[in-house]
Amino acid sequence: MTELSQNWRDLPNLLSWHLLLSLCAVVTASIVALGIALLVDRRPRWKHLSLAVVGVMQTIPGLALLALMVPLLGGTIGFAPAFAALTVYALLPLLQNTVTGLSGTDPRLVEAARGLGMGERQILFQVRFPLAFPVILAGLRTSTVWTVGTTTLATAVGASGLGTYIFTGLQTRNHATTLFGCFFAAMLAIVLDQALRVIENAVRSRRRAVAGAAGAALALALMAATAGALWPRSSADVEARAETAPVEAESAQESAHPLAGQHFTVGSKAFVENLILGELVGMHLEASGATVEDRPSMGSTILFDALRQNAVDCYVDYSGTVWATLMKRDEPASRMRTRIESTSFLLEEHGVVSVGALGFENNYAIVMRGEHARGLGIRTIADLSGRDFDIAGDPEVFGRPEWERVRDIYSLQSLATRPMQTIYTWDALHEGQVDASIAYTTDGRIAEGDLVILDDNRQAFPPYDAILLVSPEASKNGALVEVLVDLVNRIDDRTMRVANRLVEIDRESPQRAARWLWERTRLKAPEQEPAVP
Amino acid sequence: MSSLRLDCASVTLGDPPTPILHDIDLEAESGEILALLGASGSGKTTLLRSINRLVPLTTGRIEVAGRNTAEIEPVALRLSIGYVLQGAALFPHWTVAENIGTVPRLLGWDSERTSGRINEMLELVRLDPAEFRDRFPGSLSGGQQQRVGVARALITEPSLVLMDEPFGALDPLTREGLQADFLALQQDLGFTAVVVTHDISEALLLADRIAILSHGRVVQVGTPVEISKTPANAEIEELLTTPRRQAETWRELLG
Repeated sequence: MTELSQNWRDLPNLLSWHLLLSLCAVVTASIVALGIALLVDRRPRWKHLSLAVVGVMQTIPGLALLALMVPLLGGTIGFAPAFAALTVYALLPLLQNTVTGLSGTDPRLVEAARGLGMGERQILFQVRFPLAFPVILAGLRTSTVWTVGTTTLATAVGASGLGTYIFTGLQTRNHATTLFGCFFAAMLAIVLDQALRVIENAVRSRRRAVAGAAGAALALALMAATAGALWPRSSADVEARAETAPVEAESAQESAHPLAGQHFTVGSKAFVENLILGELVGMHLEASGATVEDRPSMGSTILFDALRQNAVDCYVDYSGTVWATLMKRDEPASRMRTRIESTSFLLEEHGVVSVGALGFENNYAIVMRGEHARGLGIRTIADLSGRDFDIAGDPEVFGRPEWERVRDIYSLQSLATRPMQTIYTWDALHEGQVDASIAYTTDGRIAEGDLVILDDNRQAFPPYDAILLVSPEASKNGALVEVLVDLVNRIDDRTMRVANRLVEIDRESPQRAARWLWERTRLKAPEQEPAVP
Repeated sequence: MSSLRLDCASVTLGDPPTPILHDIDLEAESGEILALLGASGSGKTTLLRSINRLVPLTTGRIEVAGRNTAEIEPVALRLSIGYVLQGAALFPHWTVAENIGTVPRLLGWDSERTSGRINEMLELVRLDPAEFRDRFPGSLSGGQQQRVGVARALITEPSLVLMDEPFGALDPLTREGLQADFLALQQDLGFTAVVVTHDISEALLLADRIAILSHGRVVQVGTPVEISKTPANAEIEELLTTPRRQAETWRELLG
C-alpha cells in the first residue's frame, strides 16, 4: 500500500521526464531525418546508403546503444547520453518514411508543377513535401511509440523516467511496481499514437482546420506535461524520503546540518543490496542537510565512469570488482590486500577516493540445494568438475573475469551457464531447473530453505568488501567526506543480510530497508563492530 | 509574326542516346490551334514538352513570339506559357482555387487580384465559384477536374497554351462538351494553342491546322480539309477510315 502510494507520488515527476526525453529525441530525430532525406533526395546511391546505415544502428540493442553513448559523450550520464541514443533509435522509421514519401510523389504532378513554372525547390516544398506529409506522419507515429518504449531503458544510464519503476521493481521483485511503470509507459505510447493518428487522418482527408487544431492541442498538452520536468526539483522525492527518515530532534546536539544547501548525486547498481545502500547514503546525506538526487539501477561500468567523470558524487562498490574488473588481476589475494591495492589503484589511476569499507563482505559463492549436494557427495566447488550441471547466475557474472578464473581453476568447463536476473536464480534452483547457482553471500535468502554454500578452498573468488567511493571532485569536499565516514564499518554481514531479506523476502521497499539499516548504524557505536581483519 | 516557330528541331534522349525527333520544322500562327496528331511513340508529346523546355533540344531552335526559347530562363519561359496536362494533374492537397491560383502565386500577384481572377476563370470554364472554389480535386468528376486544369493554364492569359491530350481520359459526352467550351474560350481569348492528340476526330474538330507525326518526323501539315482530302500517305489514309466510316453510319442512321 505504501509502496503504491510512493509510486503515485513519484509519477508526475518521472512521467514528465520520460515524456520530455522521448519528445526531445523524436523531435531531434525528425529534424535530422528531414535533413538527411532532403540531402539525399536526388542521389539514389546516397539514399540507399543512408537508409542502410540508419538501419544498422537500429539493430544495435537499445540497452547497448544507451551504454555506448556514455563513453562516447565523455562519461556523462543522465539526460544527455539517453537523449543521444534515443535520437539515433528514433531515426529509422522517420527517415524511411520521409524518403519513401518524397520518392513516391506521382510523377505527373511533378511534371505539372515543373510545366507550370515551379523551380525545383518550390516543387519540393509546395508539392512533394506536402504530398509526402501523411506518410511522414505515419513514420512519426511509429517512431514515437518505439521511443516511448525504449526510453524505459534510459534508467540504466541514469536518466529519470518510467524505467525507474521497471528496473527497481524487477530488482526488488516487486511486480506491482514493474507493472505500474509498464502501464504508464504503454498508456503514454497509446495516447501519443492516437493523438498523432487524429492529425494524420485529418491531413489525409484534407481537413486542415481539424489537423491544425489537433496539432496545436497536442503541442499544448505536451508543453504542460513536460513542464513538471523543468521545474527545479520535484518535491515528491524529498517528501518521500522525509517520511521514512527518522526524526531529527535526537541528533540536535551534533551540529545537525553540516551539508546544508549542498546538492549531491548518489548512484546505485541494479541489484537489491546496492539499491538499499544507495538509499542509505542518500538518507544519510539528507539527514546532514543536503539535497540528494538518486540515480538508481545503473549499469555497473556506466556508474563507475560517471563517478570518474564527476557526474555521480558517490556510490558503493566492491573491492573484488575493482580488483578483477578494473585492475584485471587474477591472482588470489587476502581481503586486506585487495582493499588496500584497489584503494590506491582507484586514487592513482582515476582520482576516485575510497572513504572506507562499510564493514561487510558480499562475496560470490556457488550454492546448491542441500539434499541434492549431499546425495551426490558434493561439498566443494572442485566437486562440480566434470558434471553436466546447469548453473544459474546474473548475466553480468558470467562475463566477468572472476567467473573465468573460477571456471579455469576448478575445471568447470562442463557446466552449462544459464544467465538470468538474480531474483530468478533462487526459484530456478529450488524448482530444480538448475543444479547450482552463483549467489551473493549477503543475499537474504541464503539462510532460507536447505541450501549449502560450496567451499571455495582455493580462493578463486576474490573478496568483495563493500567500499564507499566518492568522485575526484567530491573528494575535495571535506564536509562531505566527514559525513560519509560515519557510515564506515557500521554494517556487518549479518546486518546487511537482514536488510536484503527485508526486500527480497518481506517485499519491503529498498527505502524502508535502508531506513532500518540507517537506524541500526546510528544505534551502534563503531567499536562494537567486529574488527576487519 | 508567327506565335510559335520550330526550326530544324531535333531531340535525342536517354542512355544510350536515342533520337526521338528529327529536324522538325513547324509554325503556328497567332491565335491558331495546331494539333499534333500521331500514334504513341510518334514523338508528339516530346515535341510539345520541348516547346517549354521540359525536354532540351539537341539541335535546331524554337521561337515563341519571335524569341529564341534557348535564351529564356526555363522557369520564366514556362510561367509565360499555359500548360494543360492529360487527366488535369491537379495538386490533390490544394483546393480548386489554390490550384487555379498556382501561377499567379508563383508570379507574386497580390491575393485579392488572384482571388478575383480565380472567380472569373471558374465562370469561364462554367463552374460555379461559390460551389467549387474550396473543394479539393478528389471530390470532382473527371470533366470538372479538366475544366479546373484549363482554368489553371489560362488564368494569366498566356498567348501560347500547350495541351497534352487534354480531353483524353473523359467519357464521350463530357469530352464533347469540353471541346465545344474550349473552342468558344479560345475564340474569345485568342491565344495560340498546341494540342497533342492521338484521336483524329478530335484533331479534325478542334484544329485550324494538323501536323501528323510518325517516328519522330512530321509527315504532313495541313488544315483538316486538306488532310482529309489529300492524305500524304497510306498510313494517314488508314487513320481517316474510322471517322469516315462513322460519318457514313451517322448519315444513314439520321439522314
